[in-house]
Amino acid sequence: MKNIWTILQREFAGYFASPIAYVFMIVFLLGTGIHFAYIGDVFTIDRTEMRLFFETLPMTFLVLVPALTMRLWSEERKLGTFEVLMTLPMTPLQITLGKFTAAWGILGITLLLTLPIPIILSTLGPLDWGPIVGGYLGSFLLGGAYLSIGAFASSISRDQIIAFILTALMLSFFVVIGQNDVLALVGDWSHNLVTLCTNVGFLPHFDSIARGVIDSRDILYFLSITGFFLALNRFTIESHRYA
Amino acid sequence: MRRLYWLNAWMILALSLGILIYMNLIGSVWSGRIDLTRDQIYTLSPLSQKLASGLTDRCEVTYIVSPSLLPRTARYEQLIREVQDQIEEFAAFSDGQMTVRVERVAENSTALTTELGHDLERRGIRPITESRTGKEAKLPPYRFYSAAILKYGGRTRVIDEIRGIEALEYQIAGALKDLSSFDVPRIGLAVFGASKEHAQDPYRPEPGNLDEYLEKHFQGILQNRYRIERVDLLQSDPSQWADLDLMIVICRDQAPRQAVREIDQFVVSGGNLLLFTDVFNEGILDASQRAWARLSSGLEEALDSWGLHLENSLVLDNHAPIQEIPRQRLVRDPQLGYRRIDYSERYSHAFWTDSETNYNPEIPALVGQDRYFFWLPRAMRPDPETLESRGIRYRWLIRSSTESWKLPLESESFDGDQFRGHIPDTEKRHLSWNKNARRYDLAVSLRGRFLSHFRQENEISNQQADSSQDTLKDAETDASLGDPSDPEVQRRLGQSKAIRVGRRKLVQKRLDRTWVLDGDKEGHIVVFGDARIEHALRWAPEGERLLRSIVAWITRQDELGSIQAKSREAFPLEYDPSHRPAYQALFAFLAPVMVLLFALLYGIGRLQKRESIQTPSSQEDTP
Repeated sequence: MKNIWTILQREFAGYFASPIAYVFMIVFLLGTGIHFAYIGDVFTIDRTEMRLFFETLPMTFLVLVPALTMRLWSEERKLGTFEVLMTLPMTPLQITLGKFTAAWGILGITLLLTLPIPIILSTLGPLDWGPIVGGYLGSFLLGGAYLSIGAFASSISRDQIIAFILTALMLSFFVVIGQNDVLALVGDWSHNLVTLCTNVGFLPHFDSIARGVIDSRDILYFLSITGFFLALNRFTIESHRYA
Repeated sequence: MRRLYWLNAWMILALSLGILIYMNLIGSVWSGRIDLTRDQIYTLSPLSQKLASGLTDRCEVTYIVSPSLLPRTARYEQLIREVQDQIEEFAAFSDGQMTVRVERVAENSTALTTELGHDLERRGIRPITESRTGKEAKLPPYRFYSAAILKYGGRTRVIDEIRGIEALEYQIAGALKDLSSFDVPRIGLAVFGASKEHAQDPYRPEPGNLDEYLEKHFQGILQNRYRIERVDLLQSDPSQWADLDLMIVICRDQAPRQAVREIDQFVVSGGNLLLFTDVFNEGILDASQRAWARLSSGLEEALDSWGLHLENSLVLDNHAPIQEIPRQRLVRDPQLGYRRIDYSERYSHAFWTDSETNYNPEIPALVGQDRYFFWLPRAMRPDPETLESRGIRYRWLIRSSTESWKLPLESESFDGDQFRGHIPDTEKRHLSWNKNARRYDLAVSLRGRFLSHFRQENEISNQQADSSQDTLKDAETDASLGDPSDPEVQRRLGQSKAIRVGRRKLVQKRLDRTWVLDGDKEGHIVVFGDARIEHALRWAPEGERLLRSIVAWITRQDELGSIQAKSREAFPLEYDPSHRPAYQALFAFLAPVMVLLFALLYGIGRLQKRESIQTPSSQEDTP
């Protein structure tokens, strides 16, 4: 655990030492805020709720999370610090978890920075905090799953741009197969395929939590995806050590 | 070494993937969920969960909606998503048996009348009409589609109007119940006095006998899902209606005492009764008195004894919250002095319900109902003492609006002892609205174990039945038929005997009958303070839907009674419109500006720190 904490601190300091964390946060907050206030326009919807905010997150993450994860391993390998990292008295799993939790921490802080939105909204009418708590929890879990996929993509590519594109493609796959239109299309072929897509896709699980229903199946799903890609990440890293 | 590593890695990965899939499968069997919403709006009742999990065949739910035609109001902004959520909640419990599909149709209003519209109509879906109020009164109403088709086991059910999720769970559960059950509920229909009323009014548009008209009308509305049968409370064998799922009684005239006694027995024995009582002061010209005689259902006393009081002289009026109209008024006649004149029957009162305020929002069958037209509605009030003593649950279903209109008479005059009033021409009619009227219950529900209104009579009848003997003797009328050796006479004798035997059995059955004194089963009485149901059905097609919903609600009470209507998830924003740009700016820019400021301060701090580290070292370098 101590080793994970050490890596986490190092990564965290790295994020804030460079503009990357600030740019990520500002772009994310501006994008979601402008969509909530102007494009989706909460005042037209005229309801004291934040579903408008949470429904944009899967797409916003789709663009921003790859930007956060593309440098996770690629940069280490490009700068040649990867070998140094591997010589440290730490296991590949500890390094992987340290890097992942640092990125997840940045995402968590960014999500916390959006709290002024529900606070302001609560001054405009009675607010049901249940779906908001669910929304934040779902966003955090979804972000974790995105980051684990991004970390894996970064570990298999030396080039950051390729890591970015690869992450975006993989995330798009998980997002698209859970969309209702796709499910309807697939439903014409096979009922079992619909069930499979519903279970594998991100959106059905995220939507369920974001509306205020915390289901153990959804939580298990996100943790499974995150765990699986972190395991893949760990083996990829270890393979580079032997390479 | 490397090959061994990869072999090992792939095996561990495959194993971990297998474990993860297995964990998810196990997790889907033993799962738990917490509904964090304030009113638990996404939690299906145990009954709905059981219905969904009990699906043994594939169930297809298609939500048909016209997104671009939905009314541009806050109410409909999230309709599609909310409906989809609710249906998917059922699907989550169906163990993969239920699939949900959203079919987006009719992107423009012309599609409503084109082939697409006809196609949807063939599938049992008609566009919903939503009237515009207030400043938009002159605008045409919104017309759009929002309906669901459920297919299960080769059968189909249509939920033709979905305007929100408040009653959707109830509607879906009801449809699933219908689809998985092959029982057709039996409904008995008893109408009193409509023919008499029809004979008195030559302007009535209904053809022929009003009793028959009503019966046919009800059959037309309900026959798809129910077996309707005419009930003759005076002539038929009581066992005919003992097992009815619902008895509908329309009292347009004084119901015979025997009929009221049969109704009483039906309710006390645990039956479901839907009662349309007589209208306020609806009159029939009484030739003997040359005056308008008042009608009465004859059920008032029985209802009183069950804890419901029908107000006789209350109508909803625009000028006073409630107006008590005297049956007689003392007027001065120049020749005869003061005389009492009947005139109240000539007042005309009516009102429409509106979906927002008139229906009880806690009863899912009533949520989203459109307008119902009450003609001379009769107010009702509960008797708390009686209800409490018997543990009877009283619920209002429809209540009067805070708004009502009145059609006043243009002039009043007296001709001899006849009062004359003139309803003004259509153009001159002044329909004045009252916005502060007191609210009265116009349709109510009573559920509990009722005590018989005819306890004493029933007790005596039971005692007589115990000591009854066959006192019926065949009338010696056979000889009047002619020579018994004649084959024709023999045939007629046979017929006559069969009729006699049948009649005697029926009478004997009635004599031997044990009358119920105190209900040991829960009965359900729904009373509408209006008997001119055909008015409501003819003038407003929405009345048909209300009737169907009420009948379904009563017949499903035991099965679906635990499903309550849901409240909405969120409330409208309350803000000063002039502050909207400020709020928008806060939503969009407050957090980014905070981060930017932090970044600047942090960056400046780091620069200063770096300078302070560099400065001493540069001083040290100086010789």
